[in-house]
Amino acid sequence: MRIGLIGAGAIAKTAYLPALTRLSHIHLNAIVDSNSQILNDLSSEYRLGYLGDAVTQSLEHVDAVIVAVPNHLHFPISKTCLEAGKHVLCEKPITISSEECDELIYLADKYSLKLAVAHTRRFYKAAKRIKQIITSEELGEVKTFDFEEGTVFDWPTASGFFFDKQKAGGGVLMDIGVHVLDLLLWWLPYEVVHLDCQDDSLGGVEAFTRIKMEMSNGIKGNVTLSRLSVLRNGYRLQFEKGNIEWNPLFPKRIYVHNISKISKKVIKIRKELPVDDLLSDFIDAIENDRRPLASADDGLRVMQLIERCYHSREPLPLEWLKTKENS
Amino acid sequence: MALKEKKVLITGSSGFIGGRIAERLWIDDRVKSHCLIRNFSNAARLGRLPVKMISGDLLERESIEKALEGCDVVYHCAYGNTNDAQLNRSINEEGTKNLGEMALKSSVKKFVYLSSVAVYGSNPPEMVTEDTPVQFSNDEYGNSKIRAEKICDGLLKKGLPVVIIRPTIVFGPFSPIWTIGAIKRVLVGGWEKIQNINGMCNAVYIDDLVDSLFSVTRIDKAFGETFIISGRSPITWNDFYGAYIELAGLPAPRIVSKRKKMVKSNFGNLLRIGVNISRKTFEPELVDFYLLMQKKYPQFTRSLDGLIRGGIKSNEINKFSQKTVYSIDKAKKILGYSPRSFEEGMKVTGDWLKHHAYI
Repeated sequence: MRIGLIGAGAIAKTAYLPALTRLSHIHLNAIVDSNSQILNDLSSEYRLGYLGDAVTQSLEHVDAVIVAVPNHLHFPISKTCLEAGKHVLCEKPITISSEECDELIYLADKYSLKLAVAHTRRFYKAAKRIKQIITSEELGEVKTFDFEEGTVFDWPTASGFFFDKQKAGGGVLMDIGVHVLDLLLWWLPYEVVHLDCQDDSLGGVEAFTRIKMEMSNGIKGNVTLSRLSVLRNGYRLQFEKGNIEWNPLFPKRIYVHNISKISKKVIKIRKELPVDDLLSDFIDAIENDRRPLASADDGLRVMQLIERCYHSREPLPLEWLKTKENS
Repeated sequence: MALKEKKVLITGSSGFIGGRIAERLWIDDRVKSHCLIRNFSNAARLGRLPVKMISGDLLERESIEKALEGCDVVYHCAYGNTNDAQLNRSINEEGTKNLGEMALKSSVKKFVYLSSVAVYGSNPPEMVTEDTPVQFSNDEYGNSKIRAEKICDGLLKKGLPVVIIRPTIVFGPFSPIWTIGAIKRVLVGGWEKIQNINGMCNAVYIDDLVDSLFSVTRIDKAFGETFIISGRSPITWNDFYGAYIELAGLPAPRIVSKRKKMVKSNFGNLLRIGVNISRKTFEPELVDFYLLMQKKYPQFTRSLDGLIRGGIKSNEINKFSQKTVYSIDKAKKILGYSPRSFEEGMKVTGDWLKHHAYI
């Protein structure tokens, strides 16, 4: 399977290129980027069928592509690739609107191609284990959830597109929020019947968001996200007979508390290589004509929820923003 | 000169002070600042505002030209804080020169340089005013500010309407050293009362500093002048850290003798060496064990942390003993500067720390 990497920025360098080096069954045969310095640096490291800045030309050399460009380009580039008959694994968020996502899904169906999204968190063994605990109901039904994730933003973004509303589509919700909401909807696949969203945007992109939700089966919970500070960083699920806590930043431990057995245990995961598993799943889905674990439909569900959040958002009451003049 | 409907360039806008200037300009006056950004990794706070971000830095004349386009006011807050001392010096000095010279050629009417009281060196006298001579010391930050101020003086002579502001220590939401650093310090038991050491702390709340930065652009008499900006009245370092200790809900620190402090420091040094050696071999197990201890014995692990991190270090004793007071009389007289009390500033700071889960 020949694969092309479109976009060789920070996520490619930190995640995809190291994973592709480890995965011998996937043949990286093309890299596309608009930055000539990046291309120059890569030319000595990789022997490729294509290394340049033209997406269309690169597609002759590959069967499938990874789209890892700024958010607003996910749609046009994925569209070009699908129309050229290539399978697509797109970075998150799959697009910056649900309309765009709908169109990509339509094209993938029309040409019988796989369209996957890099909802990498699903590929953590710990995340799969938690899903198992939920579906097996070994702790009973889920009653509430409380997910908090926040660190001080220090992603080595060269272009700064993250802070351009038009290019990023949003702030922390469109960034780390995609991962958090995807896990939520994967673990608890129910309709969100009610939500309240507050964030700290002052006309730019939000860096702190708080969402209260209620699901169709009565499960209630909160999601808190931050790019400005280190939060508790834990996903808490309260069940009838216990609770689970998992920290996505230290993913190899799941803390399980079973009230009925009065026991606390730690499930330890030995090795986590979620990006390797994401890529292997994408290739396997193509070869065996099956649905990828994180498909475009999952991307669409997350995007629809994010749109609802932005639509209903209220400003967070932040006292320290006020001054003597405007208090 | 009111800032409403003015075009403002802020350098260092992804930092603590520059970030608050941009926030206040938008909240108070709906001014969309021009922000010159060298490193977007730090721009999450600024990204919440509808500002114009211009990628570039003070060593690239092309990006300065773009950033200055149509600007009436410049707040020059950037300084080199990389790991490269030579680059830092270039940013502070060559960068200030580049920006000032280009501002001189453009339509800039007010150029405000954010300096620091660090220009008075490591051992300032007990009363410092704007007339107190600056002093080179072993603090490269202060030295660099002196050299940048000299560049500003030169630019003033050439006709650039410069004002120099020398703030004392600035605390409040997002302050990396005097709020985030301070709360982290007290949370690990890093503050202690040492017998007979009760130096003065000249702390200013961020919004008081920003008020003064806005005032200097309104008041013509301010041009060509230098102002010290500090809080309403000086407090002691024990008051300053004591306020954070109270916010964190921790017990007041016990008074230790200087001798006891030295023994504690040496024991802490030994522990630190031990931890560093064992970390190399037993990192995951050690972290697990530590997290378990932290859950079961929080008070004990806090004390251990304090010991390992060293509490007050011997090279800080001089700073925390000094009785220096920085006078704000000139700012009061010319700018009508009227800062809030330390307690008022700390109240808002406490709310912010809670919101961001520091306490």
